[in-house]
Amino acid sequence: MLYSIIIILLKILSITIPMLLAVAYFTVAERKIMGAVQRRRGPNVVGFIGLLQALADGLKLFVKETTFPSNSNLTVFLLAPILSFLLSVIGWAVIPFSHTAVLADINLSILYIFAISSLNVYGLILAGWASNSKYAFLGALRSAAQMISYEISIGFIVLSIAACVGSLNLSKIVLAQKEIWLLVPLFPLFIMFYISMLAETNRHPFDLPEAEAELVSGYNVEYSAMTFALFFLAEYSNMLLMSALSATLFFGGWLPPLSIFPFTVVPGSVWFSLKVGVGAVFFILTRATLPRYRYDQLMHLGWKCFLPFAIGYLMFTVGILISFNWLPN
Amino acid sequence: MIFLTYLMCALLLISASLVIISKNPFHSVLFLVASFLSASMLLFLFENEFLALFFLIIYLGAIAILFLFVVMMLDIKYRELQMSRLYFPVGVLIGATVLIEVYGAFLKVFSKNTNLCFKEHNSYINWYDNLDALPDVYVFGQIFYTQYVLQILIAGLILYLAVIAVAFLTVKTSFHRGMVKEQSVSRQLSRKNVL
Repeated sequence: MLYSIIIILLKILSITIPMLLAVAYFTVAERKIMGAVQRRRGPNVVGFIGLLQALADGLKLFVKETTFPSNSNLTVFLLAPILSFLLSVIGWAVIPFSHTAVLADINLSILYIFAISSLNVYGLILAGWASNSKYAFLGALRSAAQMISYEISIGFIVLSIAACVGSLNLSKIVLAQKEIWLLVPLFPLFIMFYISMLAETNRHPFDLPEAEAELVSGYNVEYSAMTFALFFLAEYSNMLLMSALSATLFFGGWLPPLSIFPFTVVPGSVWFSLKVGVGAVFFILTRATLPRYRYDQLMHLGWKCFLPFAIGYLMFTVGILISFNWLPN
Repeated sequence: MIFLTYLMCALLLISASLVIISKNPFHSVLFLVASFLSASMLLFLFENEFLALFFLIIYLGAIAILFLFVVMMLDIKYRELQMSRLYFPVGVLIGATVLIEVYGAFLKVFSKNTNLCFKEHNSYINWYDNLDALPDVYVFGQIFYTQYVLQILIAGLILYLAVIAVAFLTVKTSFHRGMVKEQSVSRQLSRKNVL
């Protein structure tokens, strides 16, 4: 009993610690790549070519003073960052890193990720309400509405994939892409998924919750030091989680691009990391290039373009699968 | 296992009663969320993962958030907990009636489960549970689309009606014309619109 508990704890740590390191270096990568796009150097002082910048930032946030707004609801105020960080971490439990490296290979892993991401909204709403500040409140309202609306279109995209694969298990979805990545037959859905992914994680060009010019910094204005750091980690961990999800759903997870000699030697987890890297770079490049959307345009895009198209494509996919008798099982 | 079930039941009852006891409406919605969560945990403990996850997605991800939204936007100040002389006896009467009804229904449905004490006192392996490897999504599908096809269709029609009603509220009819502000993004963004 004790032995199995220790084994499970070790497994959890072996996912969480590399994930946190990846989040730390994701921030460095973001600053470096954005620096390159804007033709400046980015962080290059701390450590060799600025590689220790993430640790320095973390240390700075750790030693700063945590301030609490005097009129805030302290319990909820402290609960919100903890909740959002926790939710962003437990989503990684079902992501398959390679053939064997998956913490929980459950049958309903996509639904699990879905449930987690729908709970993610609570962290933001609670933060916005508990801070007792107008900017935080408006930011929380915006982000909640945005995340809910884009979750629905992501849900329909995932449904089409589930109809093609015949399973909600992420490992089975990867194994079904052995012949061809789902990127090719479901290309429009792939583009929609990538755009919805940006909106779901509140990133540019849909970063209206923290539009600096209007709302200072959105739902986390009143947070400082470690409580802010938890929000920050949660946001970046969510971005990586969504990249991992898109890699699993569309790029064939741990599978090599072609199952011929030079590619098959490389272990699956390396391919998986490369594919997650594609998503991460996509997040950074869109941030560097695109201007912010207006809020009504965002809602228009979510409800009037993506949702009908995702439903239509689901019907199209299922229709083709039925008429050619290609349904799995 | 049994301890966890009782714990979740207790949490569910406590948070459900705190929904109506707590003075701040925002806190009541939070306790509503907590009660949804513990109900979903109960479903997980009953090994009904599909329903539990859908409970999380729909009730917590959509309905409770809408409640939170409304409560946050309406700006309700702290409400006084008042025990009106009329409300209290009527509420107790209705509550007691519902409780008795539900208790009777439960007694009928869950008759004495012999399997429960069997599990506790014997070290037999429950082969039935071990062999029952069919995922619950398949079970749902097999039951819903064979035996209860009519009920599923009726439920779908009711949901469709709700969708149409919502669409009617937003679509501009001749009745609404002039009352509803219209937005055309392309006109807003075109150059001629700038004076």
